[in-house]
Amino acid sequence: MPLRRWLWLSYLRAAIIPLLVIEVSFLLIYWASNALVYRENIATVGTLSRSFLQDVARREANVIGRELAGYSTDAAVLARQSLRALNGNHAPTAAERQRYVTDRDGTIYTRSDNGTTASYYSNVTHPGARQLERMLRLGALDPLMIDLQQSKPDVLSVYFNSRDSYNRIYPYFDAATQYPRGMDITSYNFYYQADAAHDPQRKPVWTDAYVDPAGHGWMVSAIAPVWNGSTLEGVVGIDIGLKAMIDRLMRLDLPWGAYAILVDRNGRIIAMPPAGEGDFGLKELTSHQYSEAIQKDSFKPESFDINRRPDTRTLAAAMARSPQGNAVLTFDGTHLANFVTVPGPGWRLVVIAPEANINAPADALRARLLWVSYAMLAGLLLFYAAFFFVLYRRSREMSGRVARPLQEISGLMKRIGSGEYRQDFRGAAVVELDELGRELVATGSRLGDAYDELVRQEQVVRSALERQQQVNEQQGRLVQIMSHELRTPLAIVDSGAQIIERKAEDMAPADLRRRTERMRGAVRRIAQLLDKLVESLSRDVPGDVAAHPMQETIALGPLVRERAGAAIPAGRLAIDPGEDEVQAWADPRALKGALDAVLDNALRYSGGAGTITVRTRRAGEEALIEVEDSGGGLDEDELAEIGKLFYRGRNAAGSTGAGVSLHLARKHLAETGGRLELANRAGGLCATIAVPLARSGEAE
Amino acid sequence: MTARILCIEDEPGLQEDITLELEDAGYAVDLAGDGAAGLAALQARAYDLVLCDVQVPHLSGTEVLEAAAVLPEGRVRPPFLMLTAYSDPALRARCDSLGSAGLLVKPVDYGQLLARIAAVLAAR
Repeated sequence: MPLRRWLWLSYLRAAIIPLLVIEVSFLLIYWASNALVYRENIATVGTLSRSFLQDVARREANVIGRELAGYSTDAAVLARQSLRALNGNHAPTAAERQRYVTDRDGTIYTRSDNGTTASYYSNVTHPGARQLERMLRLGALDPLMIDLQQSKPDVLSVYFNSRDSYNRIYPYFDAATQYPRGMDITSYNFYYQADAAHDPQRKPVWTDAYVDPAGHGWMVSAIAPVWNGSTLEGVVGIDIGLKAMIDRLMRLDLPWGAYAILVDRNGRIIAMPPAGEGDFGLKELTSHQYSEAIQKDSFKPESFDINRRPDTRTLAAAMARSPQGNAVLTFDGTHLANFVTVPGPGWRLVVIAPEANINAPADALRARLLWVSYAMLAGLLLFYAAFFFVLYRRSREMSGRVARPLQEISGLMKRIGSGEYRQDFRGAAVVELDELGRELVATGSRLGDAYDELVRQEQVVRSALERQQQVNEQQGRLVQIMSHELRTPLAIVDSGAQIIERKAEDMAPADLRRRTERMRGAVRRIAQLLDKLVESLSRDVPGDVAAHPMQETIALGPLVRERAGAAIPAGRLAIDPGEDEVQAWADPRALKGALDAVLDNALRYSGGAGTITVRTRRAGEEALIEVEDSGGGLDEDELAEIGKLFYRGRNAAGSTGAGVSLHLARKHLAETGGRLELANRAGGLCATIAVPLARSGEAE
Repeated sequence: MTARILCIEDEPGLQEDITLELEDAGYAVDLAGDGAAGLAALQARAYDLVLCDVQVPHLSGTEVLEAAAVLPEGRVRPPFLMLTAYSDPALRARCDSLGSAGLLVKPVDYGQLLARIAAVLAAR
């Protein structure tokens, strides 16, 4: 996994995920607690609102009840006064009597309004004069009826109905045209609901809502029976228009957009304000188009009956169970309905409130809290987006900071591994990496040192081995040369001895002497060889010349003449006088040894003939002695080998020497600042001895 | 017919003694002082045997042996008995590989030398 990805995932694991989990958990807790609070709010509001609505309903029902009780009391008073008037002796005036006319069908009615009541005697009982005279006594009631009607604005009319269908009513109207002919007043609810069967307690009662036959539209009536002993003389009533009732309901000050309706004992809606019409899908009935006379009871239709409506079944059930309580209604949305019984008529006042309105503050609070939570979520997401971005940048940067030195360190290791031990490290921001890099460089350096030391040691060992090999070669050559150099004179001795052994008797004394002389010469050769070898080896003790340098100014001319003259037969020596006065700065032992060696070499390799030329000259800072023979020179292999210890040139005809002299000469010259070189010249080999020139102050 | 032997030897004392011994044994002997002279003699005439020192100037004995593989007039190289003062196995192997008849190490017993020469000539 690349370092950047690894860092990024580490960040995610270490930082982001726990934070995110915590934050999201908090958010979830927030949501959960909001939901809880909302539920509690709703429950509390529900409880409070039910209780409050119940209180409101009870209070309003009491108020309504008191008002209605007032009408009931009025009805009771009217009933008592009616009985008193019937049993009294009130006599109508002549003018009063003149208002009454009797129709052809026997119906008796008032025909003009004198500011008092109207009367209508239905022909259903065929009333005679005697009956009419009795009813005329009721004229004593007129002032009371007028007062009762006028004192309260909601009172539409005040009336008395007799058991034989006589009707006396205030205010006046044209009863003859309004009422149906032959009407049986006792068959109307505003009569029979107060009869012995319906009202055994003989107290004022309230009718259901009905259409007034007298033309005042929809109304309810407070009615009271007029008992004369055991005889029900009639029923008095006070009409209250439904519009007044509705206005009364509309005046209620209800919260949450609630409205109240009145329901009668049978579950039929008496009054409903416009606010409820939408919910119930009804148009309240207040006025009535009297296209014809009201022949019988006209109650509200079934759609006003909560017992029959599907949407009010819960309410109807609750009402059946108890005089007060509540129910949940479902119209367009859930509604809370609280009902109480209105004292007196036993009606129910139902206060209906849309639950949405009740819950509105809680809903609003929840919406606000939800908005806050969304804002929190958005903020959270925004924060994490920024946080992720920053962390991503960080991980890139960090990985760069770590990966670059790591790559560099990797490169260092590769290079050191491949033998490039001396490396540089640019450094790293991370201390551990920095130390690692520097340590690696130091290790590389140490490895380099060790390697160099190893190489040096190897060279030491190799050169030691080479030296050992040279020694071994030299020793091998020594053995071979010793074998040859000894065996050759030994062969001469042995040969001579064999000849003498075989032919001594035949040999002349001179011949014998010659042979023995030859044999002794060979023996001397062996002895000389051994001497020379011992001398050479003793001179080759390390550090002899080098340890005791004795450099001095040497005039080359006289030296050459002396040594060459001694070594080379006079007839074969040519000394080139070119620069006779060359002064050299050299160790005389090394210089003389070298000169002797090259002279001997020239003599040996020139095949016993030809001129040997010796020359001295200057070349730059060096003084040179050149010894040139005419022996044909050496081939390249021999040039390379000659001068090594125990090497003998192959054309060294019969000559002695064991390849020691040239080797020593070269060695000693080198140790005292000089050199010996051998090269082919035209016709022969040229040996050059080079030593430093003597400086002027060093002259002897 | 007298067998003719070419002796290539640079040591004057040995030249005389070997010549004496061979002539006493009844061989005709020619002497050459170095390798080049020996090869010239071989090219000049036919020999029945060559007695050749390895360490001679100008051309070594082994070089002469090698060079004598081709001789004028279609002559066959005579057998070479090599002489040496080196007692070197490498040299012996070299001589064998070049087809010499034998390698004798100095000093040489002349009795053995003559017996060897006789054997080589008889085998021829």
